[in-house]
Amino acid sequence: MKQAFRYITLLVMVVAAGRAWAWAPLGHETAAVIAIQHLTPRAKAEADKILATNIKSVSTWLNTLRKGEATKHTAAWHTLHLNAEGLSTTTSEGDAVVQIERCADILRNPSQHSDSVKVVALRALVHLVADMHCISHVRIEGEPLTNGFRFYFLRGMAASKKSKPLSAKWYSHWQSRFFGYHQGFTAEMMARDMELCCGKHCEEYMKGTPRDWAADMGRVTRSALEGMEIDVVLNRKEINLHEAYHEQCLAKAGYRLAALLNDIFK
Amino acid sequence: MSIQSAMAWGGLGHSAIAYIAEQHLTDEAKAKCHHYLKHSLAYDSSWMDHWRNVEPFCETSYWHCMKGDRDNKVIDDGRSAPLHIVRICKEMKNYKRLSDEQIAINLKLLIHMAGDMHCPSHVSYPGQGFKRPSLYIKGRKYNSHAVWDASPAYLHPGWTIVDYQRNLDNKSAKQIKQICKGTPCDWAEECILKMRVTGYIFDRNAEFTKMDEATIEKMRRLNDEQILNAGYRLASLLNKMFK
Repeated sequence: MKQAFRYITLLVMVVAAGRAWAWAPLGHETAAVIAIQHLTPRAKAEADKILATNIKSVSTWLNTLRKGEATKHTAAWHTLHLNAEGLSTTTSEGDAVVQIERCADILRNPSQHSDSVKVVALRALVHLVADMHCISHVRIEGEPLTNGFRFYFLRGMAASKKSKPLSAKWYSHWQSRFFGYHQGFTAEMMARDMELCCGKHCEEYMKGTPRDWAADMGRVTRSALEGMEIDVVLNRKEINLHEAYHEQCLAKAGYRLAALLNDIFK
Repeated sequence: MSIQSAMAWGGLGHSAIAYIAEQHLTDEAKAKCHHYLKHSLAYDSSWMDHWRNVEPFCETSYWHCMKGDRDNKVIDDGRSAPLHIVRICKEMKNYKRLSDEQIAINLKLLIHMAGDMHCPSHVSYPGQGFKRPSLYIKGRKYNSHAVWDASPAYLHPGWTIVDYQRNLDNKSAKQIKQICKGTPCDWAEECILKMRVTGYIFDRNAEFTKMDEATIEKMRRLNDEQILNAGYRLASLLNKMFK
């Protein structure tokens, strides 16, 4: 494990940590459970062998690194950076897709790496594929709102004495609000619901590479940002309609994680 | 107040009820529900709370509760949850004539109202006013409504809805049949009567953490029984609907 931490420290050059928020733990676990259900037997066996557990158990591990002095630079890995056209072209170390590609490369060439490096690579990959599908992790050049902003929401359709606007943040809106709508859910239950609502798109979602998925997330994020501005007041319907974005992104995260692992371990 | 905190039974209670119901659905009823909802029952169990202030659903905002008369009969004031359940069940007898969207909305309303009519804070009856005590939990005041809305969480801290089902759903087929006997109005009458009797479980402004175990156990028993009954009864309605 010592070697693994050295890898992480050396891997990153100069990275501005920035503000990076994690998807709620339930989100990461749900994406992992969806992925497990779509892994080939070979990919599942390989992943379980490397980790000595399943991918759900390690899905939030990368978040713990952000707290360590030696590993706090990994905070920047959780964010997806797109250019003004909404494409992923960066080679900067502080980007989720770059790190996913790096981790995939390690796992595709297992003989060149120690077991502990492979463990770290797989843990990071599992986490980052989910993170890149969280709308609040997407940054688009020339779209300042993707850096985060405050807005307000109403419990109803219009402000009144009973329904004064409440403050919310773009980050936490996508990070945890919709998981809060389904209290007491386990990751397995959430995964089953994502299958029920998005399962018919599974094959379509699994196509492409992490760079393609990043561009897709750029389009989704731009769509979600339509009509948004700093301090905008959203009514309850507008808030509720965001849940469809959330479901779609969660399902994509799970399916695409499976697609990537199936390809790596084919 | 957070956006999801003003819900009857809280999101947890509704999810638990719907999850228990789902375990008792026939294969056909389950398949039909999933087909129309595109989700599990539990996932959509609080939909009615999330959309209650959005047109064209604002009218449903008044359908979460029920009033009983002196004889514990449901008062038909056009707002009563059990009477809307009866109306929806009747409408769903010919569900194939309805649009998929209308069927989904009916199911979401039904799932939620079946829970709400079993929630102690959603039942009112003559002379109830002074018997509606509030409670303090860790210094925070829960009014008479919030006491039971939040009870699924504070009476069983840390329980997921799977825990609720595993720990409560242990009745025999015969017992379940007995619980589901009758109509939504009969169930409502039973709930109103039960709430009258249990209106005195704890003192006004009691501090939950200082309560004796016997009182907490009484609250827990009522909470659990209502959640379980609601789950079984919801399943029986849906099984009849899609048989």
